[in-house]
Amino acid sequence: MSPPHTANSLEATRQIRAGAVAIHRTFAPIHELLAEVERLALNASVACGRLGGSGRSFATVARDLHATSTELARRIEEVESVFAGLARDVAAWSESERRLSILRRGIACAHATPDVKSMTLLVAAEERVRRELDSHINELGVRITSLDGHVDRIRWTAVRQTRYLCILASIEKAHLGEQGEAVEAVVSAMAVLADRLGAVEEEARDRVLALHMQVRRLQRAQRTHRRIEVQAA
Amino acid sequence: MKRTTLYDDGNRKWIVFGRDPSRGENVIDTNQFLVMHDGRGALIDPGGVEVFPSFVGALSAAIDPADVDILFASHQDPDIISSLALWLDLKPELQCLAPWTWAGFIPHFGGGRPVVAVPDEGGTLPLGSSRDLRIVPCHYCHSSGHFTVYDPRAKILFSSDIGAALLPEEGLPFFVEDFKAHVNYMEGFHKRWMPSNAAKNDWIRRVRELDIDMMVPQHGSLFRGDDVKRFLDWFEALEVGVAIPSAEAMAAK
Repeated sequence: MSPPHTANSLEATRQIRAGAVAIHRTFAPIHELLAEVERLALNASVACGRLGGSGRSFATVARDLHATSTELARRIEEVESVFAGLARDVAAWSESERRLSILRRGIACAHATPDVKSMTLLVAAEERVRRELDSHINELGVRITSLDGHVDRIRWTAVRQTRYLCILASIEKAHLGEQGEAVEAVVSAMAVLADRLGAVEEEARDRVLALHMQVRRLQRAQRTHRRIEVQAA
Repeated sequence: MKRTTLYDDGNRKWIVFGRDPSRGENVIDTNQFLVMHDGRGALIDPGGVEVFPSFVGALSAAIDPADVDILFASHQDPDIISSLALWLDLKPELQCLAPWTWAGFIPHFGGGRPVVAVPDEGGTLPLGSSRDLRIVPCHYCHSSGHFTVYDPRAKILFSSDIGAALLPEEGLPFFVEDFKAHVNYMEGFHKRWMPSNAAKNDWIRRVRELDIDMMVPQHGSLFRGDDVKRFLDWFEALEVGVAIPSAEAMAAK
């Protein structure tokens, strides 16, 4: 029961909320990139059609590109659902922090009152809200770990796959010889897309890692604070 | 936070809490009411989060907060009931009663418990073994779902925002001492915050039938004795919902 700790925690809440918002913003362009993958898959199919029988080998690239876009859409949906959960966790945590801070002010007021019938209730309420807070922080940690996993899967299913397909498309283009010009635009667009997807994933990963570290620091601070309290008691 | 006992017959008790010097300077002062019967308590308009810490401290001198069973919210404003989640932290089994119109809105203040929805007609406020506290409708004065509370035993009418006054910072006494002077603090509030003359007059008709010794609003000073009738007469004559000039008048300015 030490009010200065609350001020630190409120600052930590602010930082973590800002961190969560930053990750979400980092991910925002991925919807546009998904549309780009879908458009490229379509363009690749059209190019194959134009090439006729000789474009059969490039059709594999078009098909895999389409599969990648479907997979990426699924991964994005998963990440969005984790973001929604993260926003809920941060809001719940923030709300508990606010209540804890007011309850502590209540305890300080009850100390100043000669008849302190409310003290027992206030202290019990503070303990309940603090436990609630600890549980929110733990949930937040689990959620961020899960987000980390999802970002990782995006790297495997989208970024690496697009890069691989990009190499494959270049090889197929070379096999097509002069006819390869028909797929030139698709191949160069795939290279740009792979880089942009990679950049988003890399930035998101850095931000998730930073957020993870913040939550870990907070959990450590909570544990230390609890130990000090137990010793003081 | 100051407190004053308004009525005490050994079994029924009314206490007002307000004039909180510790509240933030941008926070409007509010009156919180504790009604007790047989040792059980109801908080009428328990206030916002900003007054919660000092209110709990002041309240505990009058009643063990564990003996409070009911929170009554006359309407949905944050200065009325934004402390809901904190009260539920203190005592999770507390019942919060509020106009049905706001039963889905008030839980946004947190606490995770449903609100007991009071129908438009009002009804009885059950407190301990007593069933004589009456919930009297005052819809559209100013909220679209709004109640006052009448206690026939104490002859006290809790009038919520009706009779409210925006007092100057230097704290005035709990009771109105000079009605004419007090009008200066009430007039602007009622013209702006009360939107309907019909609703206002309907409420006045209802409460004129009641035997009232004291009328206690949620903001400002309390009325007693002849000042209650003075207030009702003044309010009846007042044109409300007219604080904003028309578009033509604004343009003419």
